[in-house]
Amino acid sequence: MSPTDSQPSMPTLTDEERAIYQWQMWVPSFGEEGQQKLKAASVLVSRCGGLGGLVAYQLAAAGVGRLILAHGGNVKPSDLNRQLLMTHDWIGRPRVESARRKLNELNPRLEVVTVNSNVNPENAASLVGEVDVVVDCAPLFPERFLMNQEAVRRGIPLVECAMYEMEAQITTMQAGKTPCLVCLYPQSPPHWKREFPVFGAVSGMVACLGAMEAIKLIAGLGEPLFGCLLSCDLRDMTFRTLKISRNPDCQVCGGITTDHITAK
Amino acid sequence: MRIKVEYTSQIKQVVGVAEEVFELEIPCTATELTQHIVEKHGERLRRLLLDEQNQPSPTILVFVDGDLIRGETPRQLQDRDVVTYMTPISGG
Repeated sequence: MSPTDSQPSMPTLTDEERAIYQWQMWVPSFGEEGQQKLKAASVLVSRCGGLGGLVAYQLAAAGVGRLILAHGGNVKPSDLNRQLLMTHDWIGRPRVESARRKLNELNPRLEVVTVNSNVNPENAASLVGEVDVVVDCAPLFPERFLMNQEAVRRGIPLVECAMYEMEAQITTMQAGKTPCLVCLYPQSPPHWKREFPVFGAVSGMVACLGAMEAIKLIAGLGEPLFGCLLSCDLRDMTFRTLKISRNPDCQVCGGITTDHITAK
Repeated sequence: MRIKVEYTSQIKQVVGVAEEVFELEIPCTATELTQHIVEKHGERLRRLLLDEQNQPSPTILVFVDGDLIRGETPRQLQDRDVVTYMTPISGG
């Protein structure tokens, strides 16, 4: 099922929206219908820092109707080299409120739902259950595994974005069709640390790719990164597209086919 | 046979280069190549690539010519294969 198949009718665009999105509606196979699908869509972005913040910003610019942002904590000075939705005057105040303010400055029509908490076992099911697409930008694997589990259970596509130093990885997962995160990593990687080297331009680069994957999923445009892991190293500009496959013994998605996925 | 090995993320940091070439005796599996690489580069790499039983860590992704291989399936390497090692990353 595509994310928008359950939508009985698409919202119409206002004249203002037609004017704003005119240039992207010129993209072949997108058009006004694609724009209507974006307007009707709801996306969860977790978290909204150097990576997720740029995903949210691009989706807001593109005209997605509703964003749910889950990110706990207050803005810190060390956020400001990459977290472009955070501003210096907001240090010490909630990140999600800074994000909401910046997103609505860009797109006042956008509905922004803020959750001043990271994805956790208490909120994962309800957050994932509210959206058409999840874009996973969390820095810790337990959060990623929670979103993966719920996305698989509900058949909701999951865009997996990650970066480290000057490298980035991205793939798009759909239960029953592609590997899930646990197919790739059956346990939490022991060597990953909460703090990691990062340039904002690297997290922003993979964020733009992630936003485009979400747009493609919602609008039925192009070919998402199903079964492919795009790996980028900006130190020497090496880009690799690697094939990834399901693990038939996966504890989360093993045995699941597209027929088994329950409707949201 | 000649095998090109590519390293990414934390593995590349430990090894210090993005890629290197190994001349190996035939036959050689991907697992044997991993052991060979660990012997060359030492304890820090061992902790990244191998588990406590000295077997390839289940969280390391290994690709041969762009295809993911899984640890339980021995993969015989061929001359001029390209093997890519990738650690999980999660930064945002």
